[in-house]
Amino acid sequence: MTIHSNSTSAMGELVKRLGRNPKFMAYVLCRYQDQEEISDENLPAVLGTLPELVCRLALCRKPDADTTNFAERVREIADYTLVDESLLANIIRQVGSIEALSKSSEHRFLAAARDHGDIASEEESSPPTKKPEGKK
Amino acid sequence: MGDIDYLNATGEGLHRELLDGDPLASSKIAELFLRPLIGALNRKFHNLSDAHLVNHAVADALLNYLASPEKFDPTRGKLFTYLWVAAQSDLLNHIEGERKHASRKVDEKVVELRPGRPVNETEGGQDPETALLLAEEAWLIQTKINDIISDESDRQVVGLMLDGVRDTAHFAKILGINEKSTEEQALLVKRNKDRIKVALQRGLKPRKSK
Repeated sequence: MTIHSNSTSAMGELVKRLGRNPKFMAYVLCRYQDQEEISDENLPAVLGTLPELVCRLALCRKPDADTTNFAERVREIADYTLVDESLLANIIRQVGSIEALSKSSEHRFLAAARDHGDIASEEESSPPTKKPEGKK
Repeated sequence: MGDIDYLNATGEGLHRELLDGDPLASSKIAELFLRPLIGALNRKFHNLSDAHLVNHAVADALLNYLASPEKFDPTRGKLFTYLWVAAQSDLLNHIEGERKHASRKVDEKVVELRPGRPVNETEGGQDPETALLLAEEAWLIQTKINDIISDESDRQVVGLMLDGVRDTAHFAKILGINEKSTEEQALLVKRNKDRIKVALQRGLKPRKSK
């Protein structure tokens, strides 16, 4: 995510680099933009807040969706950035779910590739099977 | 309270909140320190070949701190000083590397390498500019919000929200509902916050429905 146009370049750089750290909302927003193909310019409108507050949102720590205080944390962030809390909760959950799904698919793919590799190497190392002799 | 005292006192509280897992603390810390750090470093290194180097160094210092806040020991110094030293070291290393690489001497008067300052000594940020820098962005946001939200109490509610105030009593007082029960106050405050957010979202004037 690049928010250079709406903040100082240092803030933009900080946000951009936090976009690679899964502990921060910058990461969530970055993934959400990728998933939904939302441009930097359109992000404030999608979130229904001011561009300056998108930057503020990106700098917040990401609440853990598995903890009991998730809703409370989301509400605090939503108030602080004037974003709708249900929208924010949905974004965090969506990004988390799709990432989990893609990781699981990746694991399955790697496992399948590994199995395929094992079979191939077994075939290479095992002696050719003898054809059954036909009856005279 | 001077600017630097304000930075130090606020920074100390925010550091504790960050360690406690407050999701807003990282954002507040970045907003609080970024501009004063850039201002102070720009004044010291005012003749750099690349103006973005200061921005990069400050972003780097904040990024490292926010990623591992436990590395900062508040008993050894102030957070502003910690970030200042980190950003300055980064900048000096970069300048030194660049100087070696370019094999031409940079004006020593502008960029003089000095030993690290004691961690308790604070540099920069002690000028009146800091207060202006801190207030500037808040003012810009407030102006934009005022264009959409005309009701004064709604503006005050937004002001509290943007300050990260959580205590329902503050909102209840503004909304004139502080005589109601705690549960009712919480409900009405939430309802009003949501209404204001929707109004802001639509860029329309809010309807009064208290």
